[in-house]
Amino acid sequence: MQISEKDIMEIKNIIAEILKISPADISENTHFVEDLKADSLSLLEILFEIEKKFNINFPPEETSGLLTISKIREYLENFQG
Amino acid sequence: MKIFVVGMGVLSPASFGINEFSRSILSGISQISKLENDDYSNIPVKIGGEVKNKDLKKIGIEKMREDRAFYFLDYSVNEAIKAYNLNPIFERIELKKGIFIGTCYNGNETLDKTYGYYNKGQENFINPLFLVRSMRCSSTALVSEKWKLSDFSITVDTACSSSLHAIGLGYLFIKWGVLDLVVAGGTDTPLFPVSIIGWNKLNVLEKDNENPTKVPSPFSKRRKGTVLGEGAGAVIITKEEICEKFGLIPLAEVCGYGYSNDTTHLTHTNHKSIEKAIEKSFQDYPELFEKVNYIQAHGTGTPVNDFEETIAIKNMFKDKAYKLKVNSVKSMIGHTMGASGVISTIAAIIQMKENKLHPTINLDEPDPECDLDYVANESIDYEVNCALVNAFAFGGSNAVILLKNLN
Repeated sequence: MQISEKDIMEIKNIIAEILKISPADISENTHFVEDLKADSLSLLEILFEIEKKFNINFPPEETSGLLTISKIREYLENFQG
Repeated sequence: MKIFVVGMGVLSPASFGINEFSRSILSGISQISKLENDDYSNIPVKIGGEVKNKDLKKIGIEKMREDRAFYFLDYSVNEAIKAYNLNPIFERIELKKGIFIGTCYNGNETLDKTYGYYNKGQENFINPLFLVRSMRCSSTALVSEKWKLSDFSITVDTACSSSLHAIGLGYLFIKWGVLDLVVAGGTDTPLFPVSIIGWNKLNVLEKDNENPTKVPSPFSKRRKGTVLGEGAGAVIITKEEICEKFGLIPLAEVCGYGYSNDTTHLTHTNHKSIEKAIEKSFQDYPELFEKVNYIQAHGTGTPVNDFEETIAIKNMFKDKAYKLKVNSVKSMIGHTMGASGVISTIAAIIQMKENKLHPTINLDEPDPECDLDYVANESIDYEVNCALVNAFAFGGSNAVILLKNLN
């Protein structure tokens, strides 16, 4: 799947809205838990919104590794839909 | 022990905050309108006390991630604390703080949306948090988290009397010494299609879709039912000692909490049971019975409620009943269900402070069976000494709060 800069911006907006922070405070390597203190429910919701946007389902065994935008980008780019 | 209301906040269908609400009700303005959602096109009732999207934007509510009822509650609790400069009191860790929230719809908007996705086969759209958001207590939990109300939390669902019981229970918990500071209130959002269809099938809704501001008409001969409304309200209650210690200004004194349970019929209210609740509201201060000169009625506009409520007032107060002023804020904002008890309480306190009574609007056809002074159609100057606030409910759980004017 091709991921554009616009897609990345939208992912940042999703995270910002759920965590009630500014998208400017999120870079591709910002760690959702260590840097942004996201709790388990927020993580569920962030991944859910990203799934909806790209019309995919992250396999449960993958989600614990999807804690930065760069990891999500990597997963999406390698995704064969 | 004296117990006072020291802060209040409200969001009604078309007025946001105490000042707007006060101006609107004292001017006798109807907040009932045509519903704006397309989903209502196939539903026989197309009117309600609806909070419009443009108004939500004005008060900074754009995207609703939580249940709709949360945003209304959050707005009114924020006002009740911030507008009365109570923030520093809520930061005192030595005070025992609790929250009592009445609601019968919190979470239903979330469930309604979720079933919609499921029925369309869109399981991918089902939010992983829908279950926690659709809990009746989700908004109570979010608000208590925000204000660190760490000693006690309860969500009260007794249908339409929910938030009046919430205030009463908060009053008791302070009286018993369990809590020092209480957030009590309610929130409800009954305006979604299945709910409107359900209420309509019970034959308790007005259907005058062309003249939304002419209904409901509590206590009038032409009343056929109520009109659903959405909204929220909150009051902050504490004891005299805390007021003195922190220099808080009491808005009104809470002097009693009456309650009773019909146990006769699921939906048909019963004047004997209402009388019992009124009587109990004087158990802490029996001498105030003589001082009561105003009642904020439950006054829904259904034929049964307004008739039974009138009989109960007459049986309790005998000849004095005709000297009392009785009105219903629901004539202007509709029936906000679980939120209605706290909104009625706030309306009563506003009237005490302003020395004015709001009208019961749409009372254009007097009913010989409802023959009390309902402050028909025009607001009046009036000094309230003590007030009763009534809330009754399907299910039969009645509540009455006794308030004293401090002016």
